[in-house]
Amino acid sequence: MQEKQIIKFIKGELTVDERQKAIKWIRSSSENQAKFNLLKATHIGATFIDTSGDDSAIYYKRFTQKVKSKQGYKYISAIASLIVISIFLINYFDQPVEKTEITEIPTTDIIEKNIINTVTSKGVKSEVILPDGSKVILNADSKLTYPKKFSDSTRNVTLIGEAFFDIEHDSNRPFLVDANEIKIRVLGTTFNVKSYSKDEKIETTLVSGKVELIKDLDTTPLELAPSQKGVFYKSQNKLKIEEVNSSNIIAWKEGTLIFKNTSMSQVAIDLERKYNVNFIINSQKLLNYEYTGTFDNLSIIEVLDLLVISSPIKYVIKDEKVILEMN
Amino acid sequence: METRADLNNGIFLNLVNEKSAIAFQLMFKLYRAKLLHFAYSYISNKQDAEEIIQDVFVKIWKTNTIHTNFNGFIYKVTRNACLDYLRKKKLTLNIENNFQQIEASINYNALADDSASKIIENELEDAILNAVEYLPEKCKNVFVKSRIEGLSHKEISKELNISTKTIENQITKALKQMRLRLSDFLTLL
Repeated sequence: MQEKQIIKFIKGELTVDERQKAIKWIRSSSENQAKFNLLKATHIGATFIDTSGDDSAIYYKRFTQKVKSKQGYKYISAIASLIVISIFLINYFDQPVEKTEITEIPTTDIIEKNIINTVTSKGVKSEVILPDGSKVILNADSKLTYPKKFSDSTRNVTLIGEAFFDIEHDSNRPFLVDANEIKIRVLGTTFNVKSYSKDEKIETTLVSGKVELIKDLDTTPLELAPSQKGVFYKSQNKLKIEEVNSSNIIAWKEGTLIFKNTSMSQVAIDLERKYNVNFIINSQKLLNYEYTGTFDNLSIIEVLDLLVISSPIKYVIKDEKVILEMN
Repeated sequence: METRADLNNGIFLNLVNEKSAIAFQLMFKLYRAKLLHFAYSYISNKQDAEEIIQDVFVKIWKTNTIHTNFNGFIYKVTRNACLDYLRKKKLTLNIENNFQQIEASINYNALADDSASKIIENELEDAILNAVEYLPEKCKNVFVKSRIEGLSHKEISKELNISTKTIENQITKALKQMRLRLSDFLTLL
């Protein structure tokens, strides 16, 4: 076989038939293979000069995100939880979008039998003053249930969604948040609870004071110190403590979203709540992609543009839905 | 005084071992596209090649012990990653006469050939050094000292006995020249 033909093969310029012939020739003897090896190496060596590093800045940026996200990261648990979120998200995004009446009314107070339900829709926050004077800031897409008047022994509220609590001190009447699988007991303190039913974990972050997390009556309550976050993993039925920067956790109160190595699936859920938009992510790779960044009071378009600049993501808006794709 | 554009000088290697952003940015600028070209030529899958190269830089990031021959090191890491990939690929599909499998197999043999591989390693080094070597002597001295050896303008001023203003001019000139000659440095710092 002619050398010219082998060079064409290396360059990928042959038809399927010719390729097969070339491959057959290379495989027919060790001399032929050796000749191919040298021709190929020489060709690659000679074409280095044609390559351009113009776009290296993008890859360098991606690289810095990657090495940062890998530092001190617990792979196995992370991968496991990502698989859980992803499977859930695929199901979640496949469901037809239900429009509830609440979407039209930003905040509703439904009062029945001395029980008050404050409900916020997506894209809206609300401040609630409880009967004892405690202050609660309710994040979007959340529901807080509390009585018109607290009893003499305890102050009980129920939360679905996310809220920041600033609780008046009353040592005679502990304050109890019922966040479904987890109950939070405090005397007087500031803390944040994130407990959306669609999320795979419940997070309680203590800003100041002291709180106890109660999983069930048989287990000793877990006590949090300031700047600690108690994370309850629903699927594993496990409660773990993480050290956090609590000001980042409660930045949502001021309209800021902060993500740190957060899976794109969770980023999408948080953006959906804040901006009342729907995301579609079909790529498994993108769902697992970890994002780190801050959105400080941006419009949804600004957020999307920032995503495009800072990560390998592109977006398309179609039928009022935002489709995210790997770039 | 002759200055060689040498990535194997202790200062650059120290910067790499210390995970300096400047060193890694330069590394991406100089090496990424070339290593990708190399990896893609053997593994025939663009996406996988890109992943392999990104992992090569992560590996370098995790290594604290590059003391000599930077080019040889980064080339070896890339070559081994490609060999691993091809080894798996040639064994994955066990259907007889499978096209991709056979191609992976001959490319594996080609890449595993040390004397052929050495050609690529040397050509790679030449291509990298050429990018800097094409500069006029004075210009190159300043550029290498600033961007590869990581010296401050003040330190270069002392060493080469020229004013900091001249240094700035020379670096601007160097970048301009390289923009013309080699797109490699197009947006370098």
